[in-house]
Amino acid sequence: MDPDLAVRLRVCSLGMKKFKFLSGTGKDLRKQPLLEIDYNTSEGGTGHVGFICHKQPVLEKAVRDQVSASPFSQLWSGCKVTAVSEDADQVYVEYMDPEQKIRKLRGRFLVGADGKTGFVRKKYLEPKGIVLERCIG
Amino acid sequence: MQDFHHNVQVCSYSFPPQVFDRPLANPCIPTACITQLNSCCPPRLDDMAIPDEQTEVIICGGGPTGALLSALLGQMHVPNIVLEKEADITTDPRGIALDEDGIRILQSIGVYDRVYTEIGSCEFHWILTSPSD
Repeated sequence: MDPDLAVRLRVCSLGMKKFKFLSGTGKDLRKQPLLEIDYNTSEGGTGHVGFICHKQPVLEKAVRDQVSASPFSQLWSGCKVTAVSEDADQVYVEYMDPEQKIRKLRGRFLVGADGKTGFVRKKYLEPKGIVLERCIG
Repeated sequence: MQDFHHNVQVCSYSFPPQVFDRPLANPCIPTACITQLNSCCPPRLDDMAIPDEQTEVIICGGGPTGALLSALLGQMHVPNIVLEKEADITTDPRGIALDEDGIRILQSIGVYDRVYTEIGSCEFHWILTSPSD
């Protein structure tokens, strides 16, 4: 099949179509949207389609399966970070395990992938005076 | 070989292989330990028995970003541990759009075949409203 046609067929089935942003909390979904964006396009900047709809829990399961397949990666669920510190060589993380026990972990790097309200930004970086500045425009 | 033996010994007490002071590319993790390595819970052990755990990269947060980073680091043989506070994958509505860079990075961790079969959705019933309204 023509690769371009294949891409277009995918978009027909999985494309984002139109985004309609509605204000208010009512149930009328046919009222005038605040903003409407047409994403029903296959146009992207790479060989892939620009956008598709996806189911995030399914995406996360697929990613976690790859994590599990690597002997170098571990994902520990039910572990909540409670403290972070660092010296010149290492970073030290305290976390509460699923049995509510505080444990310690050290590493060469810490990556905050816990979101804009997560521990790393709110409880570690911002108290040190590090803030994420908004881009203008 | 002594190091190898040490790892197996440790694992019999439900503790993953140590990665202390190892070179980044370490191909000699024993097969017997892989199950432990991939366990979804931290190791259970007596505090007095084992010192603090250590890895190369600690990732706080096991959502798409943290888990993807973990998968990519794993591909590069960089030991890493993700700490995720939730017990399981969050199922409340979050990201709905996967753009070309997202597709590309899923391809890079080897799950491209799942993008257009499981992950991609042709259903579109999300309703977005501003909480301030």
